[in-house]
Amino acid sequence: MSTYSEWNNSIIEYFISRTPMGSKIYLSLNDDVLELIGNSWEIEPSHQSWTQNFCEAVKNRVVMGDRIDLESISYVENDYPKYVAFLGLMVLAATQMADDEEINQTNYFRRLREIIGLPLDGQTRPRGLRITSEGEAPEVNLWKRWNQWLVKCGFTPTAEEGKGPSRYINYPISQTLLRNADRDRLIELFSEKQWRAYWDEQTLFTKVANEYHKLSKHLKKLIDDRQRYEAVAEAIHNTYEQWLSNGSVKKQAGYRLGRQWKRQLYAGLYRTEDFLGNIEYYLHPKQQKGRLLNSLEIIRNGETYPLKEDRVGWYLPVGTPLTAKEISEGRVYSVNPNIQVNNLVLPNKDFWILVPDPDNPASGVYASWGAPKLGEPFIILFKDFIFSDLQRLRDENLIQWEGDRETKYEVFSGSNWYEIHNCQILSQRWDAVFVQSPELKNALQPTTKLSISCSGGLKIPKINSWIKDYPPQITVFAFHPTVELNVSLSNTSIFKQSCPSNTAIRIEFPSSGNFLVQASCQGQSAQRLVKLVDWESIDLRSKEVIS
Amino acid sequence: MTKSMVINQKNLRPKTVRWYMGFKQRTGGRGYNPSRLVEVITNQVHRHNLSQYIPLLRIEKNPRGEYYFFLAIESEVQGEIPRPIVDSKFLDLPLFNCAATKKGNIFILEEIKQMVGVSHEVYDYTNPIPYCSQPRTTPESPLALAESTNIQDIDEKVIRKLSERHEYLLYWLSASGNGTWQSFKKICEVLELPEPKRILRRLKLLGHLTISENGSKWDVKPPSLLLLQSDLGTGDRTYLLHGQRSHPFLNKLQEFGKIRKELQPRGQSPYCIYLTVSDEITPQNFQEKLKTYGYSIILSNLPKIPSFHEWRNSLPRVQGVPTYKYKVKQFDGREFVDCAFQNQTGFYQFYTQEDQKPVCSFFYDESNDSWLQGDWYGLRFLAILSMGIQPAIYYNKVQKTLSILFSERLPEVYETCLVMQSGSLPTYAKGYLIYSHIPEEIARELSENLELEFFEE
Repeated sequence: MSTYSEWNNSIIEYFISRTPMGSKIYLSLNDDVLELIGNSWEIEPSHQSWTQNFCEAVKNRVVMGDRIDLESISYVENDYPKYVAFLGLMVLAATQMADDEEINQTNYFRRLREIIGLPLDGQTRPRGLRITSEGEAPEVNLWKRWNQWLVKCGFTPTAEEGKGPSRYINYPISQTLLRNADRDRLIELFSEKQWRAYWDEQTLFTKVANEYHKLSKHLKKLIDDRQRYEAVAEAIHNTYEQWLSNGSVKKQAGYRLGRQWKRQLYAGLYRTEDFLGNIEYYLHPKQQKGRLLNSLEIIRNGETYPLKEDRVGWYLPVGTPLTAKEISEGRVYSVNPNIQVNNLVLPNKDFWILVPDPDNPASGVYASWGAPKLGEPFIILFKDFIFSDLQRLRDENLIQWEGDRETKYEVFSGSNWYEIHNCQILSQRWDAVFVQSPELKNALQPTTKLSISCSGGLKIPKINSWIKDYPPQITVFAFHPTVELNVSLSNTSIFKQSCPSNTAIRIEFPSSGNFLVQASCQGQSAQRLVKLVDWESIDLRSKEVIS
Repeated sequence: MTKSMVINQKNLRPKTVRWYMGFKQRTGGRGYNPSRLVEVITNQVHRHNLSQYIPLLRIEKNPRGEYYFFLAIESEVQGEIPRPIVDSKFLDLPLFNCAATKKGNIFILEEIKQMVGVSHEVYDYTNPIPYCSQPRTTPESPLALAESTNIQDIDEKVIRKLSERHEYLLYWLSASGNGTWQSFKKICEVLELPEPKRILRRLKLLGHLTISENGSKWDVKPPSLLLLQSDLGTGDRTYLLHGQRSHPFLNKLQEFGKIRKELQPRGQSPYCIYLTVSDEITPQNFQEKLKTYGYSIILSNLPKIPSFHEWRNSLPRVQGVPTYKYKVKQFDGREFVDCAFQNQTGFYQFYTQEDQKPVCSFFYDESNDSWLQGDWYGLRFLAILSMGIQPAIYYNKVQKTLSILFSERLPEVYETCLVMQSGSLPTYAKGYLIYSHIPEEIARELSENLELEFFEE
């Protein structure tokens, strides 16, 4: 029997380790994740599933008689909040709701009671979670603290309050990605279509979205939710990889998908350009989220290249520049040893979106680090036939790039690959434009309506902090002319006013410290932490900030 | 691969015109609200693979109750519905039962603009994010320099301020570990340090950095101590610190001995830092103790002086130098003069056509038709030799100084050997560069390896 603390710490590590800074974190705990975590301990879950084991551990810790005691877990120990396993259990309850089950308080808490072993007592909420005299649900404070903790660690929180009767239960519901029923539906789809290509997350997402009419109600809702696009695409891809690893067999009654890690690593492109205008693209392998893989080598054209960590989430670019043929056709490279993963996959794509280094935008390096943020310039590398789609998007004022609408740069002389430079997303209304490549539209269509961007100043990339005397300027990119901006230090506001969007704002930061920048407009909000340190606090690369 | 711009590429499709078909729709009853309408039409367009003929949908502003929507059609002739649309029976869907007008149902944007919006915006009307065109910077090699004559005296206050900023630059480099030339240049700009190419070069001379062959990437060296002298009487040893450093690291280092900081001439680099430790503390002692603080430090040796041929053969050869793209100038022994490249041995610099900025510089070797890449002074040195000029060094035995004509500055690898003897950059006097603390054997070895004339003062 594993303890509450073991589960708590492992869950936190699963969701944040190998996850790039700035990523949106969904505490999307489900049977798969629990089984992956449990199996990593290399012990048997003693006659029960890891999910049962987890629920037992949480129950033993938080259930006192017939009530839930949040006091015993509402603290931070060794930098890790102690309440995350309990919040995860709340998400698990939402995950286990059936597709046709109406989401309301009664249904939700019935599920929660079931998995934590609390009997029905005629009340919706169990004792210990009942609304206080101040009118707030006790667990909400923990969700808020979880969000704050994520921001402090450099991530983007996603748990949010709902409206009306779902106000509080929306916190766990907002964290669910694929429910069990959704995964079953996806496996049916994969089996029916017999998809066996090494598609990346974006491509697979678009293939699934094209089968919209075959999807469950909840899955349709997830596909439509642009804010959760990247996380949902990743979750669908995980299910796909599991299905492939299990022999891509058709789902039958009683069939249970073996829970295991992906057997493939995926690579993006890493682009450099020298002063003679020579462009080179390199393999840029992505790390597997929540999993540390050491001492791997990639075999490419008979040469062996060790995988070395670059930054959280990514390995260093590998080997010599890629050829046009490799980029055009995609490639599967062997990994040595092939005990934990078999291959490194360079997906076969018709285009690549290349964004500036998020840690160091001035570096001149562009890579497939993620979707372009609002207001951020990026490069698109594409096969020639994509150009008419791009021109259409430009004609409709959805994107813009440097030069006129005919401007494109040929790379790999004699090939059909081109680049356009200094691209930028202009508008959020992409729904009514039809292009030939739905993958392109999915990749470019903004996933947020509001984005906080830091520019200028003197940033120490490795620790994601700015030097106090050279702070960044803040720009809130939004599709509305004004935004409410609030900058605070330890809950004390140092700047609060209505500001024009898409305009750099100079903030007078009074000292070093962790400043929380919050922006909101038309019911949408975004937050970001700006850490300011002094010269005395920064250290050699191998060491963290001293202070 | 080199990018090249392709303009006005002919489209394979015949020229098309865009026109619109209008329809009525209801939000209530069996009708679709606008967002559902978009979803349904999108699915149908993709299912029938019609996106190249039906590029978009425009919906009436503020739709309530009954509203109009307009389907954009692209065809060779206005009003003619492309064959694939007809064949697909897409327009037979109940959605399109109610045409906006019975007269042909053909609209152009001008006719519906007021109804659907004032500009090329689709579906509804938000505030688009203004396009920020990034300033186009000319790519340039950090190895391409322009001759500098900036050797006037500077005020002591300015020197101190400059030194501090260079020290901060080294802290930043140390914390970052490695990066690109663009990021180096940017940080110099933020710290208001002029001439980043020269700063990069000086940091290399002082043993703080290494760079890639073409200078596009830098890597800060790990912290290292170079033994400069041992006091025969007390046994104290003095080391020169180079490579990574930081404030906390220097504080820890102070536990092992006395730290002395000296300004570099003209404040053009971080402080020169010496550590003097007593003979009781062995290098192994403080290496191990520093490890307990999380730092590792290397004991380095003075760089070796390569032979001229070793150095020359180590210079990378560059393929495909695009001489046609730039304005070419050749070094004539004193300055760069306009020329047309005619496969003549020499030192060439390539300038942008517009603003006359040096983009890159290479040495062309006619004997084996190759372009050599290397540090600017190194290539100039090759050019001087190829012109039959015999550079000389002047050694002062008493003061232990070595002087070289400013115009005959040595290749970087040799200059590094001289600078690392003391950790101090050269000073300038009457057209000469003067290096201090140079042992006679080093001066002689240098002269032999480079076949320089040797004059003793």
